[in-house]
Amino acid sequence: MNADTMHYLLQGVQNVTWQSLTMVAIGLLLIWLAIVKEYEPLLLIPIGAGAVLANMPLSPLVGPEGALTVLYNMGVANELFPLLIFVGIGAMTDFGPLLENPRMVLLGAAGQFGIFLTLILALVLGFSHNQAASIGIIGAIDGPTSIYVSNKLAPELVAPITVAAYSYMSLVPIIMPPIMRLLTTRKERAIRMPYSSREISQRTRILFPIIVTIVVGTLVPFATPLIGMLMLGNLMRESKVVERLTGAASNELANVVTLFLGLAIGATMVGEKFLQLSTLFILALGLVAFCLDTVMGVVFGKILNAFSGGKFNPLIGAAGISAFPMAARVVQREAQKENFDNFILMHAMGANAAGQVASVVAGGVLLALMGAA
Amino acid sequence: MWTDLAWGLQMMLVGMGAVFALLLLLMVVLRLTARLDRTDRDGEADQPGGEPTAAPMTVQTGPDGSTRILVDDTGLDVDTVAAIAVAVMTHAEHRRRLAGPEVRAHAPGSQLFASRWVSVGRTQQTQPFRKS
Repeated sequence: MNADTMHYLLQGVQNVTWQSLTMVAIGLLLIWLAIVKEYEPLLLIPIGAGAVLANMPLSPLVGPEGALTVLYNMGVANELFPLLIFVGIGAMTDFGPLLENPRMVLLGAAGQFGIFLTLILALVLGFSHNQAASIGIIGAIDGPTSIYVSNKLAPELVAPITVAAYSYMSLVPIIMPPIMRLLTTRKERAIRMPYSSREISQRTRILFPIIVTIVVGTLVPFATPLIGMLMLGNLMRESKVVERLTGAASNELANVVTLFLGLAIGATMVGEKFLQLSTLFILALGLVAFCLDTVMGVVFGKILNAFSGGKFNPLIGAAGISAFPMAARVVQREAQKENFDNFILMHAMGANAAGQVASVVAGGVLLALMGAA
Repeated sequence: MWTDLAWGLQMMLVGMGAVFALLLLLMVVLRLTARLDRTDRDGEADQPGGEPTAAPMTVQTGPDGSTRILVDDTGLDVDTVAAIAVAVMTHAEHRRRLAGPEVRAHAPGSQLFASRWVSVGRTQQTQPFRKS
């Protein structure tokens, strides 16, 4: 046994750095949050595992031919994974509540204010234009859109942006209610809204994804990949002739791609790149973006309340974000706290479904404004 | 910095303006689609044979003096027709559930979800951070 043998045996221990130890701790924290607190476990376990594996000393997984590098190149670098996830989301989403009440689309638009307000804050903190736009997209509260847009504009920030987007998305039931209560009176929260359902024919349900794709794709070509995949999944669902494909998209495809995406994103959380002041800023700005979305949604709800002569419950405005259907459930819960018999879930679901479409549109508009191809 | 701020404000104005304009257009298109669809369906219902019409009923008296109300000349009475209708609806509902387990559980407006028990369940579901 010579000195070289000892070197090879101990090279793992010799290459442990404080950065890698910190990142392993962060990875384990994400896993703990997923298992114990059940915060977005589908994403946080793979991301946490990816972060731990990538930060093992001399980890071959993130080498030039490493498995995690291959996964990253295969689906994150070329934006394939977020798009495939959108097929699954489309196959799982029922846009019926939105079709029953199309004016809810406007609430979805209001829920995107956080993107641009956060962009301004990021500029104030010294981020470049592309980086600020990438950070702002956290305000879309839509994981795949955040990954897609930030990967095009500022690939170096994909990891912290993804972690922020998914972590805060799981905290929607905690972040939103205090803001909603702060901005509304008890009387406003207790407003009952009659739900007059209208039958949506299958023809309309089938036409919806086709029309949305053509309209949005024509007017905002940058949004075509996102909206096209989302609406493809929804078309499969509503056509009712490809049950196997719908099931595969919403289960097998979504699950496999989620695992790969999480691992690949986690693998980018290498200590030397991740442990920077900018990461802390991004995490803070992500939280601000979520809060601003809720604030602007409720404010827009209050405006609609004023226009409707006090008949519109402003809480519904907060549901105009992409966290589907969690935001609508939170709105329903807050309304029910004031009046147990108040049932505004279907209105909130309409706004929430609109938020799903609006976040994709906002992502496309942002890309168009930044001129990113 | 002021240049950046001005750029950011410009982005917000143009960006949100574009998002609102696009979604407003989408809303108009969706409303038009819904209206056209409704008109088409009303038209179909107005056409002869588009809507089922009540068959002329006849009363048949049996040898024991009992009476049966026949809905048409095939010999089906009212009770049989009602039983067939219920069976067809049940079968359709069963097929719908088998075909699309991911579609909504109840038809829109059925109010079936308004059960107190369901509400309690939904409220619990909105607290995913709390372990059951």
